[in-house]
Amino acid sequence: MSTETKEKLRYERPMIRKMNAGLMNKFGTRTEYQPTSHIDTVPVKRIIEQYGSPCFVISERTIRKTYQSALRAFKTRYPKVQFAWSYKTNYLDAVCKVFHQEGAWAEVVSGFEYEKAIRNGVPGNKILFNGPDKTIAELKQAIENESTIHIDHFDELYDLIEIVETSKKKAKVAIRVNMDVGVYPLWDRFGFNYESYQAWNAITKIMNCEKMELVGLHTHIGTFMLTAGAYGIAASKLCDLAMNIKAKWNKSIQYIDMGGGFASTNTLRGSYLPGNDISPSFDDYAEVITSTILNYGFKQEDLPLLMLESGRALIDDAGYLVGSVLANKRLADGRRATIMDFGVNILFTAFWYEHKISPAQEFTHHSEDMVVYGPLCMNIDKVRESVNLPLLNRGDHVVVHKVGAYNMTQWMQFIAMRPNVVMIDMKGEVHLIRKNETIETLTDLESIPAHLNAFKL
Amino acid sequence: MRWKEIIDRQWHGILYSYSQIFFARSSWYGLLLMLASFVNPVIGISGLLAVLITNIMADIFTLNPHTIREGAYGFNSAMVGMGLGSLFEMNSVFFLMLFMMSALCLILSIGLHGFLSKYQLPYMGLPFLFSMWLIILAAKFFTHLLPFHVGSYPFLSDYIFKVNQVNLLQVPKMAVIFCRSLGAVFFQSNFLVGAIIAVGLFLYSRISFTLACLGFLTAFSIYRLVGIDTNDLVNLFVGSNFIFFAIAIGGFFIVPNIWSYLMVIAIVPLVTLIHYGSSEMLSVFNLPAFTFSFTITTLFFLYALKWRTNGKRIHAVEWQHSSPEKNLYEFISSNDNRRFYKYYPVSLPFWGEWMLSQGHDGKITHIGDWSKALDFIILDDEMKSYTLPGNKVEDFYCYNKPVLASGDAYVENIVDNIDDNEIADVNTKQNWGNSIILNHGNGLYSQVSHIKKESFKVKVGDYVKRGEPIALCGSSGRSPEPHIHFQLQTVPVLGAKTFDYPIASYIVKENKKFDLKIFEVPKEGQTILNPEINPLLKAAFYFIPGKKLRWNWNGNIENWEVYTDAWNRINIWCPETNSLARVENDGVVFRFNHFEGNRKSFLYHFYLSCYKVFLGYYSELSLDEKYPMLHKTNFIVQWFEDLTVPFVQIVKSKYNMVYAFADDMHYTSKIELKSSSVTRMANLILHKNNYTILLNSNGFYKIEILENNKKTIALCEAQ
Repeated sequence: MSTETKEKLRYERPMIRKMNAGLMNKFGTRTEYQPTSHIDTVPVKRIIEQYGSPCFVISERTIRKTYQSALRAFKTRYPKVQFAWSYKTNYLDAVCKVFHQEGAWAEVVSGFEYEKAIRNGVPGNKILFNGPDKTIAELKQAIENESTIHIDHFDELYDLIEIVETSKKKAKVAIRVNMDVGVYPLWDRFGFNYESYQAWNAITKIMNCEKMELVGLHTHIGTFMLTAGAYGIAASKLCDLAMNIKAKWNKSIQYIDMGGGFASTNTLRGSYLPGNDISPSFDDYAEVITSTILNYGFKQEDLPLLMLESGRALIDDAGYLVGSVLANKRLADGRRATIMDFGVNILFTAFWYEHKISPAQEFTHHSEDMVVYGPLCMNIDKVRESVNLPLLNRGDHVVVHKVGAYNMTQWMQFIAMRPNVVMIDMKGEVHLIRKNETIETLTDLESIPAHLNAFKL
Repeated sequence: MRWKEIIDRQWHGILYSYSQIFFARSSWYGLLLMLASFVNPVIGISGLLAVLITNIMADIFTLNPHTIREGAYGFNSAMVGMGLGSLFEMNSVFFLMLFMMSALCLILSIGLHGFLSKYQLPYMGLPFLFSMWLIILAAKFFTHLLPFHVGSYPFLSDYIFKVNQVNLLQVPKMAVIFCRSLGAVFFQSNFLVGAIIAVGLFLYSRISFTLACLGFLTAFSIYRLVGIDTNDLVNLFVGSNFIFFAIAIGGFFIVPNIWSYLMVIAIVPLVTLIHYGSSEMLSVFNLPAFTFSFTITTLFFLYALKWRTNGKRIHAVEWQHSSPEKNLYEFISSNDNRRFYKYYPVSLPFWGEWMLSQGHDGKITHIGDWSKALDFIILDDEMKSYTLPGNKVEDFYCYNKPVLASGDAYVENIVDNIDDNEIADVNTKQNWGNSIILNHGNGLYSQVSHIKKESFKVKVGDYVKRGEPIALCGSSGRSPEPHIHFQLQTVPVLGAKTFDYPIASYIVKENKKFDLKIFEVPKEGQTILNPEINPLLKAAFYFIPGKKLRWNWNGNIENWEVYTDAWNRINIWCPETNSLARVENDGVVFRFNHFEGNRKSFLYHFYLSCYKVFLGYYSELSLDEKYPMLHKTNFIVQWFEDLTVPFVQIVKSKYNMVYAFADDMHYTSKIELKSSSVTRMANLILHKNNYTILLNSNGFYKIEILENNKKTIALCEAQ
């Protein structure tokens, strides 16, 4: 702070507020808000000056730290662990490469993501190809590159059986298994069902195909799982399949892939308690998963590799969205409304989370319940329905926390362009990792039929 | 067939018996020594007869054929025979005596071997000493046994006189005394015999020869200093005491180095004292002291070595190669190998990366009898062992993590009734907290302490395998925060005195780089982990007996076959080139420990390129090792090196292997290893080979050899 001059006392428009009951004290009511003026030692103000507002900020330090703590949670409990970075969660090349540097493989769910992983330099055999949508060409490419194909449905399996007949290489495959793990909703739309023997049926078909090698069993029981126990049930069902495969074909499965779905510490909309308090930690998930597999009765040398595809929990904390206040207004019912320069177009997760928003500069101790709107000309563009925040003035900066997952892949080019994304490296240097879009980004793709070129108004 | 074997055994038995006298195992040197003893034909015949009688008798009694062949029974007889020949005239009684003395030597050799081997000591020349004393004392009563005198063999006396006067070369007096004292070992104190022995000794071993000179010169100086007549050195077994002692302690029983040489200089005066003291005592009975002073000093010295608490500087030879050079080169090259034979493999008791928070001789609690213990915790990248707030055991990373068996063992004892402490609190009443003691057999026990209550997965009496989870990390006992306390001990008592013992293999992780340690003790502050074994490397380097490999090296086919021999050693045999390489594999490290045969074979390149291979794959891991004597380029370089190597190694052959590429860490189907073998003399590169070893899911695929900028390729065609 020494380099920055202290701001003069801030003006706040007078207002009338309802008296809150509570013990009186000489300080009045205070908020517990802390300004987030810096991200990884870099002043928010400087980022906005250089890269504009709004702007996504990713902390390399946080990614690595989170990854290592997740890896530690599993590796100190189980001998063979491998993470595969879930591309769909955030497939900015810089982000993917941080994970690959840390040792994570790639988990992709489309030909586009597959191509991205290859371009990033991930060796073909370290890509897990998931998802229900794989074209024949993509399957052939995956076989050629020795990637593992996680089969999602029988039609895909039949496709593969046909493809391998003419291919030189054996296909490395795994099946995705869905199952009842005691939570609602039951994710039975992906993969083969365990309870109805669909999974066993698929396994038998694969084992009987000479040119396919079943290397793994995969499940992904849901998203934002708030109970670690469900993973125990899932792991034991996969272990059961692995044991049966061993018993019937004397084949040891190479890996058990527990997928992802680990909750981050964000607070879900409508949740009574904050995410920090209710989300299980990596250690909680690891404890349940590893102890289930370890106690299942595998021989020490037959213990399968434990594969994990966690996305959200690994990246959410590392992402920030910095933005500015466009305007303040009073709604008809007297509530305060603050309009930001970012909305659900780029902060897609605002639909699911009650994102934590911090002012990026000092503020007075007054706070007020308010609606935080985005800039879109759409009624649904609400960042927070009701949040108690310090009073913000036009032009003030704010930081939205834990936005690393899904926003930078699900954002919409709608009404406004997508902003810059920067990464703060381990030394505190800021790098632009995705340039903001311009009008050319869109118009370059468009073409106009000649007869529409000229018009007169 | 049987006769052929017996003749071979007896023939080598004779030659090795002679060479054993000078701490050698060589047929040509034995032959040379035997011939030297025939300078006086009477003494020569008498010695040879004695050896033959002893060895044939040993064969008839079906003693260990290997021991007979080695000459271990014969060398005392040879000396006794030569002694008899020099003391008595040859007649019928003489031959009866010779027969009895040979028998006595054999009996004493067996008896003393049995007695001294309990203390892991050699019996050396003790049978000779006792036999000679007995015959000298008894001879008084055997009136038909005539003492030898100048006129005993008239046809020889003139010749003997001339031989004794041989000094054609006008050599310096000191060299004459040196040679004559060597000759005195064969009861012929003349220059000719001594010179033959000395030249032979130099040809056999440069180190033995220099040591012989060193022992002699030291004794010579002491004689001058204290005022003994230096001419006394040439007398029966006076000078030879110092020569024998110098070879034995300087390079034969002790690995030759600067310290062993200094030890020779330091102890020779004592040998002098013992010699003259014992001579005087024995003179009461009119007995010469012979090699008494050398034998006694050597035995006590070797015995005293075993009582040391620190094995540095002076290293006893553990596997006798009967050559100081071989002992030394083996010692230099195979540090790991020796440790591999010495220690039971103990692994780290956890999964993943842990930090050694307190090592051996730690400042906090690893003090006194408990100093050789290891404490482990888990740290994050900020070097913290907990997540905030860190005020309960669950906040600590290592809490609740599996504790593994450090080796195959029976569960000896379990304590499981102590609750975890509050953070920072210690339970000094129940110091060890919940603990488990494993019995690894052969008197080795391991103890893990501060375990979480009721987390044991095993019970007393269970058999556990290395790496199996047995409990969970806790914070019971004297444990201010959760950690694993691990110690090895020699008794199954909770909290027994700790035992300084290395970990068989572990990986040190520093700045994201991995380093393999073999049979070392981790150091405080290191982040370490158990090595993860790669199935592909493990399978490729597993040379199961009966395995066959067929290599095509630029059109030359080599068909290797793997077999085990009587000593349970695994050999790779190449019939095309008549070469053999011996391998060892403890499941973590594969290594060669021997090669013999054709150095132009591909097997030799294989030996060089895969001299030591860690069977796990860690990217960019690098292994270094020294080869034993590789540089057989020419004997002058070799001999020059033999002379200097106890002090400084000028010619070095180094091996390096880098783990260059693997397609997948977990289920590997392609691996590329790069190795090099470089022989340098000081900074000059004498020879350099680079190898690229490629493996695929079938095992070996091909090896590329770059030798003197010439690239050749060997393809593995079948395995």
